[in-house]
Amino acid sequence: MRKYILAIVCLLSACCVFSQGSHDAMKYAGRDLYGTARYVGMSGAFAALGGDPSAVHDNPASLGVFRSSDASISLDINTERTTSTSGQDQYIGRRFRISCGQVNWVINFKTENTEHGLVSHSLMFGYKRLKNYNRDVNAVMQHQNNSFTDYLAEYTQGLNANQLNNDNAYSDANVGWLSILGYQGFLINPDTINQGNWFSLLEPGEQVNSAFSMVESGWLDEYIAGWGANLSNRLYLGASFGVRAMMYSKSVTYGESFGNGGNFDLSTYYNASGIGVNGTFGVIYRPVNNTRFGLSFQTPTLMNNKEAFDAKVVTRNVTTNTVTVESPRTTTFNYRVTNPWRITAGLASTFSNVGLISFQYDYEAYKTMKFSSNTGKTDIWAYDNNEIKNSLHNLHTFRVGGEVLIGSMFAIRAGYAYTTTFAHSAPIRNKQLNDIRTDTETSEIRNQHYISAGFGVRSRIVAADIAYQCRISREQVLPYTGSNVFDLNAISHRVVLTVAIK
Amino acid sequence: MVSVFLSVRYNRNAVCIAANVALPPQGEYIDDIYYTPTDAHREANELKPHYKKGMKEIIFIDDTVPSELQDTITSQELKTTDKEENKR
Repeated sequence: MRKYILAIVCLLSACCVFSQGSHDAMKYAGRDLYGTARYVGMSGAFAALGGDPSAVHDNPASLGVFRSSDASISLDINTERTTSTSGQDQYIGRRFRISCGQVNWVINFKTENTEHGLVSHSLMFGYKRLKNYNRDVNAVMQHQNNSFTDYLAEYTQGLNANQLNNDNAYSDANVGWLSILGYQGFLINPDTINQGNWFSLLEPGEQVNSAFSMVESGWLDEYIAGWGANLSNRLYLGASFGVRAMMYSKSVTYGESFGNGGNFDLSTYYNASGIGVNGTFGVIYRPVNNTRFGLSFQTPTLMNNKEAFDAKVVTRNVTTNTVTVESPRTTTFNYRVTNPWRITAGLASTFSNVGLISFQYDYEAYKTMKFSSNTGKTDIWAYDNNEIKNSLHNLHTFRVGGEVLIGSMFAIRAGYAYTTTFAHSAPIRNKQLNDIRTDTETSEIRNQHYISAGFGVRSRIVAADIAYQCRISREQVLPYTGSNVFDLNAISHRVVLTVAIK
Repeated sequence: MVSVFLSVRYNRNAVCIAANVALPPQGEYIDDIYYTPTDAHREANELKPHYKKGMKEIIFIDDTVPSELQDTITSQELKTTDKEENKR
């Protein structure tokens, strides 16, 4: 058995196709609004303000604004509710999670200058969560004219039954694993007259009821080392080096119950992990006392990923007993992802003893994302890279945040952020015929809204903040190519608590 | 308040190197985000020594501390006086 698996792995690593595409690219890139409660309470509009450890991930020049050392930690309490709607049917998924949103340590060094020249500079070592993948998605679609088995028959066209039903089927570089599972699980049948033609096990016109369930888990974190300087209290410069770590897993089950009896479930388990690096450079300039501008550039994040997956089909037909077919579990595939570069610009005005208002704009070049081998070769990824280029939008994020001071110690905050859509049109997932991945679903986020509010107490020594954030996003999910799309509305409620000592 | 950070801080009239100590800013507390060049200018003015009318600024050379200088003069004067008395 070991020899068998080893042979499969060797062969796969040499010539197989395991497609990534835009649906995976979106998972590995981007970021959510995590950070200190002050940062979250103002929807992260800190690129021009600085002075907050979470803002250093956006603009390292923020470090120059610090006038003393600072250590902070944040606790995140998050609940996510997804509502899928298909026709009259609505299903709800919920997930609750407590995590650490950020930990940061800023070390401030002052010089003898107080007004002109290098006034101070700071180092920072920190951690911040960028994304939380945890969520449950459930959907039911009834009386469907399209069946997964129709898609499977179409997908398998051109292959003959012998290729799909032998001991070496999983190591055949010309055969997709979905076709093997479909045939061995009795979901599709070969045309006995015309070799290479396939048809569904369903009768013409037979309707199906389908159920889709997806459980996602994992996180995308960023560890950072940064430096920032304060020149004459007017110009702030900064640079940082970031290391990203990603862990993602999903378990997808798609099932159909046939109109004339019988049913099947296709279960796919997939997990991926990766680590990557990037650099960020930024500047904040204050032409007049109350107004400042911020600008930063983040290089593409180069991530080395590895992934593994397997699948199982269970068929319960009216004429046969229950049939279970399992694919072998792949070991790890290694590849490289170049995540998008980002430009951030900000404008802020502060008013002593009154408060502040701040704006931020982020541009992320998603079209420049690409997959390659660990040696940098893109040949076998041309199909996926082309799909990313054609199907993804570059991303725009607009943020506005404000703070009103109540006395010298208290402040209330509010913010709003809006992120544009990734996708050009309705979700689509094209699988190559010899793709060994068996997950067929894809989803596309239409847009995201963040509404936040917060409250804080600050003194010379210690600061405590609390923030609430509501994220509303709308997605369209396609269980498999050719099926009906269902809408997925996700609402996330998050409470962030931060304590900082100076 | 002493905190655990490693920091080097230049304090008001003298150079104060405080290893493992990061002191918050002196004077009225202003949040870092609200701190402006005007605040820096005001604080710098507050840091300058204020002399009474007619008095001039005393400049110490070679980092000599006033008390040491005074002791030196006193001891030198005493030595000179002793030598002159012996000569007589």
